[in-house]
Amino acid sequence: MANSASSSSVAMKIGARATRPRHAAICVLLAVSLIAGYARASESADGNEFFEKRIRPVLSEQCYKCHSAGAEKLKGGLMADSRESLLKGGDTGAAIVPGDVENSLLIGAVRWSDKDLQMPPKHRLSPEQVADLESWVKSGAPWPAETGAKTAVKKGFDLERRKQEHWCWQPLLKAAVPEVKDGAWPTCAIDRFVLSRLEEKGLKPAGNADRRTLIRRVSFDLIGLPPTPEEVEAFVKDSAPDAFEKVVDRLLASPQFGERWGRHWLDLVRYAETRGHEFDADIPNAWQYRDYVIRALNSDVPYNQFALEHFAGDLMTPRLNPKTGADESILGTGFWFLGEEVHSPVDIRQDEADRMDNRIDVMGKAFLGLTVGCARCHDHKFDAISQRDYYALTGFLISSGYRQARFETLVADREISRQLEKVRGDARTKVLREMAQALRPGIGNSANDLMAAAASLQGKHLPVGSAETPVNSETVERWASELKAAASDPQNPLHLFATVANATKGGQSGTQSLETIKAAPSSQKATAGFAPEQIVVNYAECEVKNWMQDGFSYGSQPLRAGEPVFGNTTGQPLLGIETRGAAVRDLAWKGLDVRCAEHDFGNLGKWDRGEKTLRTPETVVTAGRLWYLVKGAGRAYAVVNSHLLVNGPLHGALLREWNDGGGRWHWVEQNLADYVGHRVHVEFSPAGESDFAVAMVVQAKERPALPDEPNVLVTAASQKIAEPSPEALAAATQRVLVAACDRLGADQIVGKDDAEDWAKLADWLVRKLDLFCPQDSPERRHLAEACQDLITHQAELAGQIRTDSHTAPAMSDGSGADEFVLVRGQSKSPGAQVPRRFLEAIAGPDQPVITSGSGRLELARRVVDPSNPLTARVIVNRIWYHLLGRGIVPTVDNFGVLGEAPSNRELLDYLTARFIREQGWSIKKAIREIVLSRTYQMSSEPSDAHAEQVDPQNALLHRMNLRRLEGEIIRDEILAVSGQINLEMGGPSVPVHLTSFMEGRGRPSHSGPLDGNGRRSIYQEIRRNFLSPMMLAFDMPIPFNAMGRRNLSNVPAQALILMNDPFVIGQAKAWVHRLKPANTGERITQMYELAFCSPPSDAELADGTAFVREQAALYRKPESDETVWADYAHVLFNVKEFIYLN
Amino acid sequence: MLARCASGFGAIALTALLGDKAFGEVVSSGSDRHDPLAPKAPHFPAKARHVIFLYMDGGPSQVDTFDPKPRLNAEHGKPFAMKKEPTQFNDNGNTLGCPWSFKNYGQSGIPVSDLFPNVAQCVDDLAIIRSMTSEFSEHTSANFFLHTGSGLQGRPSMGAWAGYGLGSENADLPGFIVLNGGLIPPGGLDNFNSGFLPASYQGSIFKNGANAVANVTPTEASAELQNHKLALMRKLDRGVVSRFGKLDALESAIANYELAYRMQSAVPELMDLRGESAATKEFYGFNAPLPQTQTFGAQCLLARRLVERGVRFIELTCPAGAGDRWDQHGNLKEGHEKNARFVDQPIAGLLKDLKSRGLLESTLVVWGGEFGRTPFAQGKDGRDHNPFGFTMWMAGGGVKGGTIFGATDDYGYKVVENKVSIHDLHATMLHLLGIDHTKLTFRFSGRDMRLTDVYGEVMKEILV
Repeated sequence: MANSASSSSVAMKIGARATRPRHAAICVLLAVSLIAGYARASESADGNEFFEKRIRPVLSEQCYKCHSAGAEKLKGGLMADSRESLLKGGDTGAAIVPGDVENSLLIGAVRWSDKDLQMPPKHRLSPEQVADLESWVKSGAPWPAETGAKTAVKKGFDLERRKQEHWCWQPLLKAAVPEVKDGAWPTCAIDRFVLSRLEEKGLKPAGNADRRTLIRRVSFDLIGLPPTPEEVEAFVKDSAPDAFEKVVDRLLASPQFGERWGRHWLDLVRYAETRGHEFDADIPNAWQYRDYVIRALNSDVPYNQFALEHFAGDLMTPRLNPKTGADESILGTGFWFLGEEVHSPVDIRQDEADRMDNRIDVMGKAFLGLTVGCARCHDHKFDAISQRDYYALTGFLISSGYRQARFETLVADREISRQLEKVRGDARTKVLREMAQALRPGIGNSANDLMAAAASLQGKHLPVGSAETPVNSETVERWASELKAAASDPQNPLHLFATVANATKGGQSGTQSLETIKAAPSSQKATAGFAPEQIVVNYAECEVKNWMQDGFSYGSQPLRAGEPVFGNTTGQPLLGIETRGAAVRDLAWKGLDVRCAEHDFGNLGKWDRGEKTLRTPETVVTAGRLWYLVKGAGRAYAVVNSHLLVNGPLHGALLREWNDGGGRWHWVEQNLADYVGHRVHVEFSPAGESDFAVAMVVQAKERPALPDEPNVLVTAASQKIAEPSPEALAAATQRVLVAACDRLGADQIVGKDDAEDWAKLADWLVRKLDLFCPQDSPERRHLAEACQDLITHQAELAGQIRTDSHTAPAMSDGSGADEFVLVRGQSKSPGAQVPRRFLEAIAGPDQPVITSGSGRLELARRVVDPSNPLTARVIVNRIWYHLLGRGIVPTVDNFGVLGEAPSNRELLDYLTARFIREQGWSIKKAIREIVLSRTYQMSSEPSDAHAEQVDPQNALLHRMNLRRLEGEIIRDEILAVSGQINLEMGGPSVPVHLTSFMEGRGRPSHSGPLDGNGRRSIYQEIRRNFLSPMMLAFDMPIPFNAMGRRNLSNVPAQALILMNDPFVIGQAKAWVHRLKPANTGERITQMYELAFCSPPSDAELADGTAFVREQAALYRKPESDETVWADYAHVLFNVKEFIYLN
Repeated sequence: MLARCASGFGAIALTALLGDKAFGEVVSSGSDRHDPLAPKAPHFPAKARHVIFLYMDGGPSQVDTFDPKPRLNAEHGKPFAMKKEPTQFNDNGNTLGCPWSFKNYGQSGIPVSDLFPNVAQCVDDLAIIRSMTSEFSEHTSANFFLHTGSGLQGRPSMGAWAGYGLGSENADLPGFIVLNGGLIPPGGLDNFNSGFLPASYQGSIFKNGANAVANVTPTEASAELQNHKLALMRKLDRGVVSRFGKLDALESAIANYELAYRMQSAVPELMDLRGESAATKEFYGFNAPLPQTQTFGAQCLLARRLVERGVRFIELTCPAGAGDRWDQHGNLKEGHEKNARFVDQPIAGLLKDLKSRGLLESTLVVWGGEFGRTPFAQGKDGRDHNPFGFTMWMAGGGVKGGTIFGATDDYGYKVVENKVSIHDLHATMLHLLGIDHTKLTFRFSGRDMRLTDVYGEVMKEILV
């Protein structure tokens, strides 16, 4: 059996030992050090000999290729060629701890015990070699002193220097509009900037494009559709000086403008409607983001506002949709979630790091024209972006979460919630007072009632109807039934009485009753048993910054013990009194539902959480189990490392659902044993109509004790009784209940030390309203009247709640968390944490510390601050690129060192300054100014051979660039020309048309229509794993990263599609049906005007006429036959002029 | 043949339209033609001119195929002796013995399990790499990683990189062809895409059957009708050029139609197997009892025909019908047996046929999946994903046959010797194609991107 490799590597090692020369110099040094009496353990003679014989050869042969001053490329920042460098260590810390084998990374690495740190990387050292290294470290890692030890100096990363040396970090130039020789040519400042450069090179600008070319060009550029023949004729004939201006203004005002420029934007945010990976799960309602972009562009939302919305649309004062009142701003944050998601990643933390990397990368390129993503593993190789910058930005993202936001109802609901709060606040005193009033008579007679009920249960009957004790049989029955229940329920305030009464019945003595009373345990607070670090959140004492929810289902703050829980009927104006500080679901919001929106994939998607979610602060899993003290049926989604595609086989433990615990507080366990050491927060939502409340979340290995024990106040009062008897106990109980009723009526429970104890009694009283105060009693009627206003107001407000809403992917804000610098980008090697902040090169080293929440709004403000030299420049350059075919900075997504330098920085900065100061960040104004320039209106024909030679890339714009239309626009053009286009705007995408070549997991069960219902291409569904072959062939970017400039490739698939694809053939046929009846020549003319905006030349007319005649002959059909004309139409689709813009 | 692309229009203008600076340099230095698929000189003399990648979707088990571990059978049913890493299903049981036996084959005496009796006959041509590792335990990420060198979606596939580096030797067919046997791997067609490279390099999917390539069949009732249309188109295009100017992009688009036109006949000619002898077909498994073997046999034969026609990179995907790919989370015996029967005879047929025609020495054949399988059981009788040590093999194209490279531990769980990463695999494949993997770059995202990222070492030990 051949095993050449292993035998050769053995040979290598043996050879290494035999040939390693000994250093004479070391012996000398050794002698010197011994004489000097300076013999550290590390330099003993034995140690040195051992080192030279057994250690140095191994280090040298096995490590130095990557870990020495002589390494071609130093790996992991570690050098192993001196004791000092091993002590200093590399990216992951010290390589050796002299004397401590187990804590020396080097030893762990050569043992291959940690799968992420195995050295040498390709093969294991022999057990003897490992043992040698172990004993070397154990003996203190002796290393003979060496002179001239090589210590490579790591090339420094000097952010300030890099910033100084590269143009893009510099403020905008304040260049004057240049003087030009040919003063007649320019019509605006732009032209002067362009012409001045041309003149420097001795070049002349090209002539003007003719009017037909110009209107075709500007129509495609602004709305992505060809002008109609009528529009062309009108423009050609319009001799007014502002003829072109009118065309431009019409196009800018067209609703199709947003569709055209929206697609440019979608390229930057890797827009897709599925999450790719194995099953290509939907990104539900992604199209809402697409429509948001289109609306924003159409209404010319200033770009700084647009950018702010992308970063922090959920945190700012919302921009409202003027028609629907929906929150527009929040939709911008959806772009973060348009990337890939992985289900069941085995390494959930690394998966998160990869997802965050994509978000940072996309954000950096799209908004800043910077490759921030390149600083994930190390400081940027070329630009002034440190690795700390990268992780400072990542912190904003890990501090934020994903939700499907009810953007249509959020704003209105905020107002309703505010008013509800006010109405209840105003009524609170009165309702409590009236409630106590209603209870009081019943409570005042409760001792009697108790005795009567006890007697009744024992088969005895007390006399009924005496003056002092007006006991009737119904009352006795109610009390008896309550007493029965209380006997088996320690939390019932009557439990003690029930127990003693029972005992007495059984013949026990009074002394024994006293024993029972004394033995009754007193209650304790739920928090008592927990160390502070175990408590994730305790809503009884919750800081404002930890109060986070999507929507208003839990009110504006947690309820405190003793606060009323309002009901919605006059019969029961209060549902209870909150017995502990908790987040309590407000019944006003119970009707919320999502029927009209798409739901998430996987098990999580089955939960309706919109405006019903309560979010805990972030923590790190330590105990392996989270415990929730809750009431009612609910659900908890433990968001570990922001993982959201929960659908097996792994990570099912992140979802936990439980049933109602009989309306009592109970502990629910979530087992997160597999996630110890991972970041987590919990998102609670109620199940169904449940009265749901969360009091606290703790980490503990064991189930915490149930805190609810017999009522301490009843116990205490009872224990004061000298002669225990049922009568005395009944009287004591009544006294306590009266006191509770008084406190309730005066609203004097909340905030006191013993609030929880009184609240339990008050809650019981309120819930037992029927016991004390029957439905038909005058007190009850009085209570109902007194609460009528509140109930009516509440009902009115609740009636305004729109229960259903569309939803859209959006961010939610979490508690702030800073990310660790991940050494070499590996999640297994966390370094120091970096506070959240914007890029140091732009916002400086001393940025205000973010004190609450994610801080995205602060970040957003820094991004769009006019002092940031990049945000405005980058968008202005993109606009220029889309209109002229080449950016002033050609690498539109990369303004860094590896990008191309601006061809005319003065022009770029001039336009940018105007954009900020005079155009108010208006994209439409910027476009208008450019297309009205003479520069834009030049001909594209290369007529000047000299110019082509001097400026082959046309960087100076000596003529207009010839441009190929994008795949989407070619398709739209075909539909427009064939007359089949359907200009309906917005809404869910048309399902992608599936060909038999589009296979794989996650393939939709149904194909969309071949012609996409004639809708524009931007409304065709984009499924990551099933991209349209036509769009792919024509370079629609694969949606994985920001792609501001598309490839322009030439592939046979493009020709094959236009030649043979059934869509194209079908549209050619449809086109024929659109034509007006006419003779051959007129038909050809009609078709030319539709397809090319101009009538045919004589030659083209002749060629067309001949073709029609000959093709008809081949078919043996008349010239007028539609088959013949469909063939002709098909040829016109294939003429290059159809897909190029001159 | 019509000019493949109009020459005389410099590459400069085109490169101005394409990506970053670096791309322009590669294109223009490789050829004075601007055709992105024009053949380009390798960095050094190549051993292999073509690659056939036999992609075993799902992850075949190393310990049941080419990496025998007697201890598994000795300890079958007992608790697994090593520490177990988390797996995809985390439903891990005891040690699971190999249900097949191994025999030694050929001069080299390399052991192969009974799953591959036919491939075993070719073992002296194989370099068996027993020390492959991956970084991902999930199919999709591992597939992307295997195909593109990155676990994320959207990067260029290795076939696209080969086309970018070397161009194509066939003017009538694409440079990167995927013969789809029925199973598109998790992650979908993006495994074969060109990512940030121009679309010219994307894999073209060929299906079995009459309509192998999308839109390659003319819809006209007769060739005459289409030719007549194309003649008018050419005439009108000349008019466009005279009006718009002799611009490179325009000329390229026109030339593109000529290639498309030729593909219309080249593809049917390629797919037409009537000229192949009965003996050859028999060899490839056309008469095998299972239809999937016949399917894969036809793909293997097509792969040889594509090699003959100069296609640079050919990938084969497996036929469906064995449960779920090579992904036997349960019922290992039946699933692996079926999968092996689908491909064993066709692969052996391909290797022998290439060899007898003298094509094997210039064709690199690579076999393997995205990861291996655990030596311990999942559930009762399955194996879960194992990226810590698995087997791939290479043959032909400068590879030293009859070689075993690297080793896993006594249980076949983790690599203990000569660890090979996917980047190393790519580096070696490119090396055999005459490409220095550190120099094949494309400027994207402000970085000179490589198939091998910043990693990769050539496995010199398995080279001739």
